Amino acid sequence: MVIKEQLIKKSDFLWEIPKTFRDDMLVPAHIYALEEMLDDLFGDRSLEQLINVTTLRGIQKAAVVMPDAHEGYGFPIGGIAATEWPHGVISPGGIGYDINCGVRLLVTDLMFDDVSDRLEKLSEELYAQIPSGVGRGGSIKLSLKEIDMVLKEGAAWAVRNGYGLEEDIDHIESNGVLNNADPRSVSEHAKKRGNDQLGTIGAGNHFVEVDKVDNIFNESTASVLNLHKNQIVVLIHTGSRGFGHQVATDYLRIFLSAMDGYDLHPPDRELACAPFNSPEGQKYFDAMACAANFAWCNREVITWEVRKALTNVFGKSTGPIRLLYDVAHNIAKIEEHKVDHKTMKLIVHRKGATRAFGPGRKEIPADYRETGQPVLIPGSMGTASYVLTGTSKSMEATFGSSCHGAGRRMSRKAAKREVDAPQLQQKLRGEGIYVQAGSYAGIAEEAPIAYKDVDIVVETVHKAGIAEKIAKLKPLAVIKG
Amino acid sequence: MFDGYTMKKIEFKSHTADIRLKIESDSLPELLLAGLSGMNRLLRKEPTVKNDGSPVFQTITITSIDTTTLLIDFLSEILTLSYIHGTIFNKVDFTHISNQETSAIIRGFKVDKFDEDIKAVTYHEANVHKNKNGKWETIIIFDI
Repeated sequence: MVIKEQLIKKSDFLWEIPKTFRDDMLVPAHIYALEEMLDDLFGDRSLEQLINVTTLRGIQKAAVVMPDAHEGYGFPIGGIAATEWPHGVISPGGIGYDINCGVRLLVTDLMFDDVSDRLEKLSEELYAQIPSGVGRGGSIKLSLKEIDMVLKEGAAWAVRNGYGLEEDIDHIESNGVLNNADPRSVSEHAKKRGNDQLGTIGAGNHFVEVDKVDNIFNESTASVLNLHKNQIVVLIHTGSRGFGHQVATDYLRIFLSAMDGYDLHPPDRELACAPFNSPEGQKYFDAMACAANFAWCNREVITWEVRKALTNVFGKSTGPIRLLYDVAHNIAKIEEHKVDHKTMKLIVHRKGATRAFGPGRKEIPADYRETGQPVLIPGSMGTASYVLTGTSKSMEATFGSSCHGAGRRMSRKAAKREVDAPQLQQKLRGEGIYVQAGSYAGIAEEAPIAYKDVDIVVETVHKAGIAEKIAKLKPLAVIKG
Repeated sequence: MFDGYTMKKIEFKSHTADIRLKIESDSLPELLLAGLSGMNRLLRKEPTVKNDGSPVFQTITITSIDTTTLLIDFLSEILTLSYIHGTIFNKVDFTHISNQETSAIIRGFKVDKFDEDIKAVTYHEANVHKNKNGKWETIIIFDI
């Protein structure tokens, strides 16, 4: 067990567990956190899990964890690990069960004064239009043949079928599709579990949230991103639903059986892995791409539902609703990064971490290439969310990655014990935030008290230079499962 | 006969983001059933039978690398079938069980809804073993 005194302070925001800490570590572990945030990390098994990640075959430079870290299964949430392509391992645990869980931000021409007297109606209309909650299906029912098209095409399937706009595609990470997706690599169980879930947010920490732009930190970049003070914007946070969960479950099981054959013995079953270029590794990567595409299609269909809800409430005065950007925060990507001054192709695992590419990268849409990639950080219900941009420092230090949210600090059980949900809902309403949720338990579990302080998390990545603060958003209406 | 809601050797424990369960039993089959009982309690606390209450039957066969993965794979398979069929499976008839394999006919009833969206039954912290009292026990963490 690592103790605080064993951490090497590299700066006010970066701590290192040296490679010498444990015999099986292949690289050091890097922790982005203010000193006062470390106690939270020592309160659960995040750091032990991070050390385990450093043992993955082919890992390069360091296993990294962001300030929103907390204990996961195998990998800590908020973790980043890059392994050498194509011989290093790929690990489903480094991506998570909710493959391509992610966030998108829609921007409108509406201003706060245009909506302030109709926020309750807007929250009700959003709740009516967007299916949410445990196991709730949507209005689109896919046959097994149709679901294969979704898995291959991603967000473009939604556009082709009238659920999205062509112009959205450019502003989605990877243009909303990973081309290696192969539906033959996916089980029928997964397809059946996901066949009615397009356009649904699910439960847990997923949400749709209407915000106003509360503060601008960098006017010129905000202007490029089309963000203005008091503007109404909409955040969508969800992933690949039951489909992705099943893909992860299926392949963890396959990898556990296959590992012996590759002489792989990770210290935790949830770190099950296979060489990327093995048959199992390739099949998983193709199945993961299917789930990633399902998630991008899901967020595109939800965008269509949001557009419908806003138009139903505000009519023609709604104006265009544009997609600012869509980021994945549970995914593995093949990317080029510098390692020891040499450009290497790497398998970058981000588990509760956002790609945060700096200016100039070819993967960023042309209109954002000079500012860096937008990084979207949702807070907890009732607290601020943030828009940041990637930096050249993130490319050097964190494989072009940043944090993904506030980060949980209290168990769901403890939150339900401590939070009076009806009272919280009333309190938030008093603050001008309308919450629509499927259950009081869901509100209690996601109460702000259950999360770390998002302001401190964002300040940490900003001061560490791995993402730059551009705008702060204040919630007005929250739709939860 | 196993009723998926009456097993008692189940303890819900705290976990930062998910749900941690400790189960204990006299035998391996009972341990699998205790895990299922715990999972069913999460899926639907007060089950209401939907439609005419006609039972839903499924046959499952699981082969795993060890006893711990057998338990997790058994629960994962039933979780998947629960979501696909909108069903709580609360009756299990084992036709075969060993430390690494099991076959069973499971029976359940359709429910109006689920209370919890369980993403997965994880292998994290799971370790099926006999404790000092000679009972089978393990932790199970459900990803929520």
